[in-house]
Amino acid sequence: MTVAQEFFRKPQAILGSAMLALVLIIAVFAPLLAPYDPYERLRVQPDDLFAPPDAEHFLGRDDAGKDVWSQLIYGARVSLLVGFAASLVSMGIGTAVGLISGYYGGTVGNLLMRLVDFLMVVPDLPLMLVVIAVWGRGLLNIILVIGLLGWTYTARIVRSQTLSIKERQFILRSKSIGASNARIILRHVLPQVMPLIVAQTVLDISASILAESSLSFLGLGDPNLISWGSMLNFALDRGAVSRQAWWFLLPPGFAILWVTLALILVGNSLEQIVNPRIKSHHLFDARRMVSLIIPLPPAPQSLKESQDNS
Amino acid sequence: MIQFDYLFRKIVFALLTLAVIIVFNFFLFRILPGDPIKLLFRNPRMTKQAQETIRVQFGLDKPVWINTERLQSGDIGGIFDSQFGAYISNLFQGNLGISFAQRSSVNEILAERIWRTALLLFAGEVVAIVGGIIVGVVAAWRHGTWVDASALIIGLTTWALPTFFLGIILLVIARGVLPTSGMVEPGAAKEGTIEYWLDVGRHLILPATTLAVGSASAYMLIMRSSVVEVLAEDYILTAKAKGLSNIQILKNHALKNAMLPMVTIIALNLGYVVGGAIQVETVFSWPGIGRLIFDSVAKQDYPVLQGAFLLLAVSVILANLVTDVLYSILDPRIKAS
Amino acid sequence: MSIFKRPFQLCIVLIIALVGSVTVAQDSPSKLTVGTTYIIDVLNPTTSLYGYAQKGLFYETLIEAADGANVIPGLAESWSSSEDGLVWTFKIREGVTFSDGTPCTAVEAAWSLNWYIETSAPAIVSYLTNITAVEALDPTTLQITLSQPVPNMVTAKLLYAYILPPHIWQDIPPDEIGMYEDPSVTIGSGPYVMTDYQPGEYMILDANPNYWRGPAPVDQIVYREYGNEDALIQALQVGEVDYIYGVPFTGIPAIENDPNIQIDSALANKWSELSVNWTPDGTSPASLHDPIVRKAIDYSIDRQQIINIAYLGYALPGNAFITMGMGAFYNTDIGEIPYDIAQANQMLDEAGYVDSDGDGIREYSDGTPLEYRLMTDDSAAANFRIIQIISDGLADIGISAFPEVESTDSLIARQVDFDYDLIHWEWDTDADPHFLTSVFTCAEMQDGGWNDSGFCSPEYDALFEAQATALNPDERKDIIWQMQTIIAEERPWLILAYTDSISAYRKDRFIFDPLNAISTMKWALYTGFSQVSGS
Repeated sequence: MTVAQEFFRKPQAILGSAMLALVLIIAVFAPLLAPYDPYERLRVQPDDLFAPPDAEHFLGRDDAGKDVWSQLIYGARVSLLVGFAASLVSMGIGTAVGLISGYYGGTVGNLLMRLVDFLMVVPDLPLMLVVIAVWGRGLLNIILVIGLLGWTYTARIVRSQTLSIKERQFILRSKSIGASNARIILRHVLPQVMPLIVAQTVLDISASILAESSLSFLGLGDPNLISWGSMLNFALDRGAVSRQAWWFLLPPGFAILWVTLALILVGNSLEQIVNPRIKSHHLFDARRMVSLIIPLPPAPQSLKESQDNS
Repeated sequence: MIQFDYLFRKIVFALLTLAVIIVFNFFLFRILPGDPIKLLFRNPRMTKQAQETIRVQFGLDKPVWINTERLQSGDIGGIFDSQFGAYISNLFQGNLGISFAQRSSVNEILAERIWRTALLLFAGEVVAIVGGIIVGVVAAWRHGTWVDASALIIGLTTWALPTFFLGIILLVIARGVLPTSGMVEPGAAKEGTIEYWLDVGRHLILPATTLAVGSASAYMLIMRSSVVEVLAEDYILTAKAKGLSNIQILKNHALKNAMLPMVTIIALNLGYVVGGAIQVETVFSWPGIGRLIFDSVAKQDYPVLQGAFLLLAVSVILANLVTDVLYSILDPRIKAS
Repeated sequence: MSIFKRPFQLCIVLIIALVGSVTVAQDSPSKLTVGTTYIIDVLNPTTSLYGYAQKGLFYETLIEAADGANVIPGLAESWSSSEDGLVWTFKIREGVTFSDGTPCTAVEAAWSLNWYIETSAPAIVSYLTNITAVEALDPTTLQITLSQPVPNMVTAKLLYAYILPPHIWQDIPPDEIGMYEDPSVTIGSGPYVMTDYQPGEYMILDANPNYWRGPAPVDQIVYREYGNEDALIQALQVGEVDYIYGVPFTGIPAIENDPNIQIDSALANKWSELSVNWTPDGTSPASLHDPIVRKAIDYSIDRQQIINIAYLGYALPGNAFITMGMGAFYNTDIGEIPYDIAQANQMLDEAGYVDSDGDGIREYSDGTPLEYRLMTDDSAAANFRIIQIISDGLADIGISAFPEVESTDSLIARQVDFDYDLIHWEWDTDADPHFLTSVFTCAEMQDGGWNDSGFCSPEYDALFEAQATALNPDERKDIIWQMQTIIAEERPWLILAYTDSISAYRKDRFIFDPLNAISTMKWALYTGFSQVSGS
């Protein structure tokens, strides 16, 4: 079975994909779907602030009188954009580090892995807070800070896989006929590692989206962009709780939940397919590749077990 | 012996990481923009003389890394008469400096705050671990039934739920019923009395629950998958045939095998939980280190930030070291290698 | 929270007025819990810029502020000045002690004032200008000699010169005074003493049993700090706090119909302004140095929208830099600033700022586009909404200004370095215009003074000196009106709005004597006290 076929046999994969597709469509077609443009200015009266849902405003209005539903739709763009972009950065760095340290090994490899260990130990959010305080708020900075801290899992997986691949026959044969290292890495190792990278990146995206929403919620996001986290920041600060404006307070949080869940389901399914070792020890955990840290006992590949992984 | 060798390597690594963090910590805060002296007194109407005095007091009159002047005048020992040198020597004396915002020693401020966060984390993690294990085992035992399915769904959902959002929801629900901010009712009970601790406990409920839910889902999922895996093994059937009860099977086999991944994930989760604590402390105004970091970022109180950051990183390193020790006890493979 | 650059009676007042009346059962100690987003910056009175409420409770001054510009006797029972206005004599009350039991007489008062002047106590010394000598002739007589007569000796100069116990402070080396944070710095002769303080969480004050006016009716005041403004409203709603001042406007609809909560509002000395940087050595673009540009910006600001969104209607459009709350000093001749995009565009067209490349942004004569840094602090979410509105208006007149948020401290650092273009601030200040008018003097440009825009005019400075010594109130008023006219034309600041100050309290627990927002505690305290005996 191809990866795709295996993928669509899993109920969780189908569910996750459907959830994700919905959000992607909404994000891409936002201008068509949103009844108002939330970035457009609006002249409002005090009564318009925190207006409850009505015929014209499906989810009511926020603290500046803007339509919440439109913001929710446009917010998807920012949250997804940051998630994807940051993960791209993570993917790039993680792959490079993993390939180099796995293939070349030696001191460089060791040092790189120590760096990975170090970054894994350092708590993420405090570091992000401090870096944003230093660099300033802004879209690029958020993407960079999340991406620069999130590559360690990819690096670990890539390294581990590279280590096992590099001893294989076709690699040794390539070497013996004089292929350069770079060529071997790019043409032989990388394609083998790619599926794992993709699976891990999908999970990384979910973590990036959570990170962005936390940063925006704490007020460190780009204030000019509407994201789900920033909506929650305004909601809490400007009185949604005391005014019981649940229409402004709850939807952004559930939107984050929706996307994160979708990505976890998809990523987890991919992981189970492409990483044979964890097929038997299933971990839904977005960022914990436990199996690569503890060597697993040999896993009996029984039919019953594959069916258990739902 | 092999086991000590493993431990030794782990300890060395921990120390190395510590060294890197110490240098990194200094460096990070020296690239803050703006002149820290101007931020010292928020009233800019400070005379030049007073500014200079403060500058000397905070050691900001020295060069940042190494003192090339003293080096050039032949004073080799004076090479470290710099901010970095002062930072290191202060560190070894246990002096973390003086807060810009509060004018009191950073040590004091941190000592005050760290135990509150520790309390919060401890409460949250204990509930999460216990809850996660119980639900995970039950779900695994009832693998394939609706119990298992719902545990899975709930676990996944709570794992994907942003911590601060869960906090907001709980805040809205429990408002008026449970305290939603602070650690104690000011002046209500004398520190150290039973009433005081009961008060703390009441204030702890919502923030700790918020933290616990996120972690519990991870622990539950791990526990569940480990137990499911073990229960599918052949030797379980044998054990059952031999007449061993479910409880015994659970205890002797399933739980034992699950301990290792559990310990791993608890350790791995620590950094993440610290991030969760920052969010929880902000939503519930819990006066811990997370909130201190957040406030200090706003005030650019970099001595406090430096100290807090160092403290956090050190704690996580230590916790990981403890985990490694536990590993070497639990994992037969390590002993054998 | 709204950060006050120099907060004043506002805080002190409200608290105390409330303290004045109590309906709780008299046998259990009465406790008033106050909610705030920021209790105090530092305890040290020589450097702290916040916490005026607490300082008013710990310490006393010779003369105390009452409502509006009125004053009442404090530690000084009475006072008189010589014919030439240069020598003032104060009769100091007898029998007053500091809360630690040590005597508080003219000797200690003289010591305090001299000490502030000698050590240049940052938060206080600017009020004590023109004083050449302070002497205690005997324990009940204090003499202050001035270098020239001033109009506000009684109404302003001494209101913040807290009388401190010398033995706490006199041995501290001058360089270390600012950093001294021991709790004993809160010892004064006032009605409350600080008994517990957890920075960032709470402060507990107990009534001083030996206070010379008699112990305060409320036995204990507790300040509780919350992470955001809305948390204050929530706390008031569930009764976790009894009183909040500086109520966030967005929270008003949540509590205005609550039968247990009473809201009081007053037009206070608060204003919202946009500081414009046109310092010669600053980093702002040359175009901001053109008064036409500043005028156009002024005309592009939709003040009503700001009032609606940020202040929910609880504010008035701003024009002069002296606020409406300052009574007669406010220049009513200065007309309302029109919101007129067409006219603003015309002004800029005529001044030669055209958009030659068609990108919607005008260019300066050297070709650089008109792009400004527009900033505000992160203390309140409403601040960002305000600069979004300003940014929209600027876009309408062909100016690009991207709204940015930075921390308060970072913005202050920028102002001190004159490294900014446009910054939005919310302030308030005391009722006497002396301090506020001083902000635009050339002298305040030095050494990190309060002058943030770089406005410097010999004509204005002359007027400032004149008002500082004009003894005739009408004369002084005229001078200050003139100063406002100059500022309104030159526009170092664009005044956005004068905002109300709103406070709210639990009326099921406390009775509050409705007072103008600028009264001080002592006066309100004892007025309130006399009314409670009937309940």
